[in-house]
Amino acid sequence: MVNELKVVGKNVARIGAVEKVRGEAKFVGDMSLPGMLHAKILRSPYAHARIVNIDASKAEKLPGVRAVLTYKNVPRILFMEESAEESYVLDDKVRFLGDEVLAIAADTIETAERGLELINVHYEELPAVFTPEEALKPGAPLIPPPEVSKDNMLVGPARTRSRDWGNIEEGFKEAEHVIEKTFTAHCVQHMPLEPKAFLTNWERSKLTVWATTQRLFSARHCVAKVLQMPETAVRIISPYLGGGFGSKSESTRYILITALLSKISGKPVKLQFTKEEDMLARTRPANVISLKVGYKKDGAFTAIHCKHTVHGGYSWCHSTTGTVNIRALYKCKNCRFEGYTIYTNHPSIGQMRGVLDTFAAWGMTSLVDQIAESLNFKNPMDYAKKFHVRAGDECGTVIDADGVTCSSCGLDECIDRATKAIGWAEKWRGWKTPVKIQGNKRIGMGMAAFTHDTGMPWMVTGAILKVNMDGTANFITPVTELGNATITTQAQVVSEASGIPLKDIYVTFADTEVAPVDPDGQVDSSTAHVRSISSKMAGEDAKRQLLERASPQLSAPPEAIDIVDGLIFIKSDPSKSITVKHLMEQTEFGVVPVVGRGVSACPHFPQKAFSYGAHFAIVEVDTETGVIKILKYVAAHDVGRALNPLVCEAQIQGGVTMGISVTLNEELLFDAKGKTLNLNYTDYKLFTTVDAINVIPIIVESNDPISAYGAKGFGEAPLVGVPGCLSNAIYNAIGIRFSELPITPERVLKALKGKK
Amino acid sequence: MSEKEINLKVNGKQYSLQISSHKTLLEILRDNLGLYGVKNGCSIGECGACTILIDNKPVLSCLTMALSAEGKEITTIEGLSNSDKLHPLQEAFIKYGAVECGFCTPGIILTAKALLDENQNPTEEEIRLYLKGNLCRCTGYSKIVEAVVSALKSLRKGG
Repeated sequence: MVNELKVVGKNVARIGAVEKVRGEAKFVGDMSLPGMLHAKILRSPYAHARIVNIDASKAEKLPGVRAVLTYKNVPRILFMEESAEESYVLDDKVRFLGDEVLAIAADTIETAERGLELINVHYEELPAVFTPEEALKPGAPLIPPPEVSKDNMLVGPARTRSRDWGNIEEGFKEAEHVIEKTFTAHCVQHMPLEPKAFLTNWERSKLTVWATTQRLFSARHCVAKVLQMPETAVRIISPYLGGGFGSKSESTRYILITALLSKISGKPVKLQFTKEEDMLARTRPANVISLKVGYKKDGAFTAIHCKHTVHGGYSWCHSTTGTVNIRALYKCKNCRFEGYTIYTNHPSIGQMRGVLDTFAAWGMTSLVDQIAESLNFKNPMDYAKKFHVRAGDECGTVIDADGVTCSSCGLDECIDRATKAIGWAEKWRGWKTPVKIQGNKRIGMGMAAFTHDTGMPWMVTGAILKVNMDGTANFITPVTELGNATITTQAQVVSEASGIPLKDIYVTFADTEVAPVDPDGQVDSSTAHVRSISSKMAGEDAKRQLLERASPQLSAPPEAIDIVDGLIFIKSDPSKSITVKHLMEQTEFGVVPVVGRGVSACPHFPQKAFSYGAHFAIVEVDTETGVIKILKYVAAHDVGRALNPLVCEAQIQGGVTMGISVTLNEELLFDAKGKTLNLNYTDYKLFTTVDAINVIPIIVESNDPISAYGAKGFGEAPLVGVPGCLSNAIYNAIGIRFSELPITPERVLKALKGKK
Repeated sequence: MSEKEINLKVNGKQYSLQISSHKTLLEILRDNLGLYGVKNGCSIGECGACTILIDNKPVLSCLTMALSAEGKEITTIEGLSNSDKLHPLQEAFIKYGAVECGFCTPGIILTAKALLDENQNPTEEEIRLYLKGNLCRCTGYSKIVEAVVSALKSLRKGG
């Protein structure tokens, strides 16, 4: 008999919600320390320049200025975060317009700002390149430090993201049809509401940092390396974060700048980014996906060639093809995936929700729609249902071991339920036939089937559950709380596993001093999958110890006892019981404390988990204005198990809304000199309450066999499905397949004009 | 930049402060009064996170000079409920999952409070229109609108 879950799967209120609605929850920007200084950064006015000299003497003499940091007084030690480039804290070269040149710490923000005005920098402007093509031309200016790379292409054994399966040439020979298309995606920004902030306190031998970071252990490792301190001397804490979406993955440079200002001044220092600075500090790159696929008359793939080129800024984009999950969605023996990150003089890039899989998925979804149409499939989803990967099928991506198979797939249920919810049978009128035409307005519908990863194979983590003398417990987890309720869902897991009621568990999160090492942090939709395993293990370990301790009290062997909701009882006779509180309050000589420990690695072989999803949309295209309106959007997601269904729904609605906005609306724009033109909410428009629609979420539970309670992470997936789903629905409305994002009214009108 | 004495009434309490005349209400509420529930999202009046109520109307505190608020009734999120009991809006935001990262939450709740004071029977469209100056990147807004609708019902019931 399967035990009914008591806490997992329930809509418990999120931890911290009361503090948040009362305005009591503290974010880094809300924190201060006695004697704290304020830091400001001088940013480069050029896209590419050598700093010949910096004269900071006037600023240093300004009363209230306490520290000035330049390339001259930072340690000349290279560091590289998990997902960023190898670089120095500050360098004698600036690589994009807005790059960090110098930092000042002063008594007040105003003094720090005045100090910046007194700095005299002598720049030697260098030629700048803004596209991969320019950056790779012979004689192009070298962007990285020469000791890091001799050219502008990021490759190398450790970072190459290219791989072959089967024989691609043979695969194309076998094909009866070949289709080839290039898709171009734009540069966008994560736009969390909270701009990045950092607070550092440097006491004699101890550095404490409160930071907006999603990866605190990787950050600590780099900070310790550059500052030449043991990791024990560096403590990084990430309090509540005001959204991340990937933007807080690469924060180490700013931690180091703040820490060094603290070291020089001997005072606590706070660095608070403005929104403008926050938007410059990491973007999601423009990227080009070239897809060539070969297939049989029945639609079966014989070859897939995916080439991915990323406009890198000066950054290593971790995600080049690494997260391209085509092989986890469609069966194909012969594949070649190639990924290239090319350095340019645009702002540094980083990871963003869905990473670059969003665009590979967009390309594949568009091609599959086209193939399904050309082969006269009745409905677009019929293709996905016929050929998608199922549990047990090979599914490995570029970063996975050979022969790895899919652990669970709820895609069929996603498709079936979403098909019904959108009203497909009643509305779909066939390929090239809009659902309705009303004057200038053409209504179309479309769908996308997709997958996304739920943890990188190298991820490791841990959790601790300490049971107290009154039966309450402290749960210590490395996870950060970005807004996606990770501390709540992890507490649900540990409560379920231990039998200690959720109300009796206090969560200490995201503090390198106390939590087990978790180098990769909250990225890649990994928390519900990878961290749940260690949280469950910690709960079970504590429970085992409680049972052993209760055994003599209840005169029964541990295996005959269970704990539910704080009550320890004999399974065959629940009337014989003792509460956890009562048990822990009793002290006897030699009875040791209860400390549950869990450690886990991302399950990666022989099976691997992916989340699956199907999106369906009905859109209205105004052929006179080019404006696209979403009339209905249904998003079905296989989450393995919903640890907290309300949280899952919110993830779906928020992710899809972000996806619609990114697909139709958002784009970071640059001028010919590399200046970013729209670094504010007025010029970079997010969806507001009046733009957003009520996305209909559907939760599918495939109960993944290699996960804790069956849960797969899926926080990024809601965005991944959107560009493809909308592109296909727009095609149904107006007969145009877009291969450039965003699909703005201007692009729609231009395409309509071209069609005539 | 001269120093000025100012008397502010915030969340029902009187404060007498010596402030620089160029300071915004956002800065004074946060830095002088420690009311960090007033969030600083953009400082230029675009995101709505710093929304407070002045005489029951929603105002962007980052665009309001502190000196101009003298003699007025200022409410921040900390003043929405002075007891342990939450305001129906706060309760509904929790119950309906409208709180995610929580950075936009104080501003949105206060804007919604102003709406419900003005209009006891808003349609979903009216709610969306009233909240359009408060950005949220997490939720997609659906659960926020649901929470406001639900709070409205419980307020009407006198709850």
